[in-house]
Amino acid sequence: MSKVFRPLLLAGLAIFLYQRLADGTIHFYINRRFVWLIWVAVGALLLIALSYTLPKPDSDKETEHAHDHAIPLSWVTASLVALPLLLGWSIAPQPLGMAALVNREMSSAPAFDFAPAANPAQQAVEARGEAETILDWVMAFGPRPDLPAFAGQPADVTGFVYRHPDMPPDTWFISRYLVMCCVADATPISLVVYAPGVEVADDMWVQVRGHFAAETVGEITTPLLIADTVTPIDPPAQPYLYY
Amino acid sequence: MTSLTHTVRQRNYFMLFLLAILATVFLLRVYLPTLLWQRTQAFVTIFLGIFIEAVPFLVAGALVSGLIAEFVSPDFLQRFSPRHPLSAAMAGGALGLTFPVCECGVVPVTRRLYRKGLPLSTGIAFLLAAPVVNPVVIASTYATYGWSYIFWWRMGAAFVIAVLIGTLFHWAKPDSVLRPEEQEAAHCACCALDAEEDAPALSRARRFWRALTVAGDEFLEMTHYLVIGCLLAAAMQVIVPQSVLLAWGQGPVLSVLALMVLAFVLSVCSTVDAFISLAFINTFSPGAVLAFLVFGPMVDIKSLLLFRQVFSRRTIVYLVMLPLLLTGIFAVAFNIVGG
Repeated sequence: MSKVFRPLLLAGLAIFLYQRLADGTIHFYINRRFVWLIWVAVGALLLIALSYTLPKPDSDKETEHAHDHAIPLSWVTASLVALPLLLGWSIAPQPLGMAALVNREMSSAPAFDFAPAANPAQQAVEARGEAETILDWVMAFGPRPDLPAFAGQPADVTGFVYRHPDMPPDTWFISRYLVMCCVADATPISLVVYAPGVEVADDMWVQVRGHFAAETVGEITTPLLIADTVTPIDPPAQPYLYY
Repeated sequence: MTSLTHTVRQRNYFMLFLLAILATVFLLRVYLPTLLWQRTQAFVTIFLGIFIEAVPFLVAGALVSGLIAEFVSPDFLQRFSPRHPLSAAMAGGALGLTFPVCECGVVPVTRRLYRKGLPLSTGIAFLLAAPVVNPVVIASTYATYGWSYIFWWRMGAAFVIAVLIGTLFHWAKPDSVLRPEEQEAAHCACCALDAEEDAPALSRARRFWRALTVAGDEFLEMTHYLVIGCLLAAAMQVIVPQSVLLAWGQGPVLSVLALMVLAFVLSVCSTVDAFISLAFINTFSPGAVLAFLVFGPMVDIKSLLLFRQVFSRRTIVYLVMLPLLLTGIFAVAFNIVGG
């Protein structure tokens, strides 16, 4: 294929990544701590693409030293390099939602060894200056929550709705994905919400304000978020939670 | 004329492929039931997530490769390559300490070093050790586990396993280990031109730009395999329920196998896998977590596809089986002796 294709593919990839950075949808794919690496990659890819457009020195023309035994760019290679761009441009960027839960282990208790907080809402505001998240509560409860200590505590969390078919009426999960690196390692974390008379649909983003109570199902006692209000919201710019 | 026809045909195939993908996406969107379309979107998101995360590291690896091609002479490498099999492999492992590249970036660097005459054993040890013992992974493992036994055993086991496997390759013949194209390149007179010989002809700036072009070629060739690896990894995530693997969490042997398979399937960048392993620390045996941290960076779906660019098929089988066996034996022994 024409040598023009190489710089075009490299520049195309740089533009694709730049678009994701510019519109913020890069957060649908990777942890925010790695975003700066994508900026660096965009710059490097553009610089590399530019290098193809510079006139070759005479010595290269004579010896073809720069040929580097590079395999001629076949249509297979060009197609595979173009595939992420095609998929990215033809399918609207979408954060992971309910559909990705099917093959993942959902947790309402962390496997991590965090120091539990007595008052997650207050601690979140003091530590980060922002409202608490599902993760704050999941961390606070720990694997064996001392539920009486949390009963009655107010909560204000956002997430997407997942209605499990086996759950009682008016009860559903409010969930977020916890992402360490990229969506390949996304782990869903959730709280059980009880919201009588409220109509919600799977994948709907909501803000739930309410308070916690202890719910005993069989021999297991779990925290239950009793909703005072359930407000539909737009998906946040950063849909995942990070550790 | 023939070349022109070939070029036109290649371009037509490429255009057909673009159209086929766009048509497929359109048909899926129109005819797939909502839930299946959402799962398709999830697949695309995971695929792009793995790909985007890998791109900066592959660019870094390609850039280092280009710079080596342009500025490192074969003489320089041969002067500093130890002759003793074990020393040569240890040098490869130690080289990993200096390159901040993950399992994606290390492959183009290794390929370039081979073209410059690096001994096989040194290259294999570097390829397997660098994704674990490099400065970035050392920092992320320390940030996760501190100076705990997990930190030291991860670094120690990865280094020892890489050096052992590298040493074994000392006795292998290059023509049975490397792809024929790599063999050809390693013996090509024009590619063996080194920095000193070529230097008078070109300014440093000009050679830098030429290194960038080499990096671009390298990046495109590697991306070919990276995309296939990312597609497979994303498909596995959508098809295989994690619960199937996590159900093996108990027991000194099965737990090790489960986390090695999970590391292979997840194909997560080695720079952050320590954070991810935290999720298993209370569920799986310590040996299994160590196996995840040692085996995953050495071999996963996407790096396996990248190996195709450098090594023969038989070598790739060895590069999967030897780390699998050695890491498995180490991790099971750790569980039995330590637990």
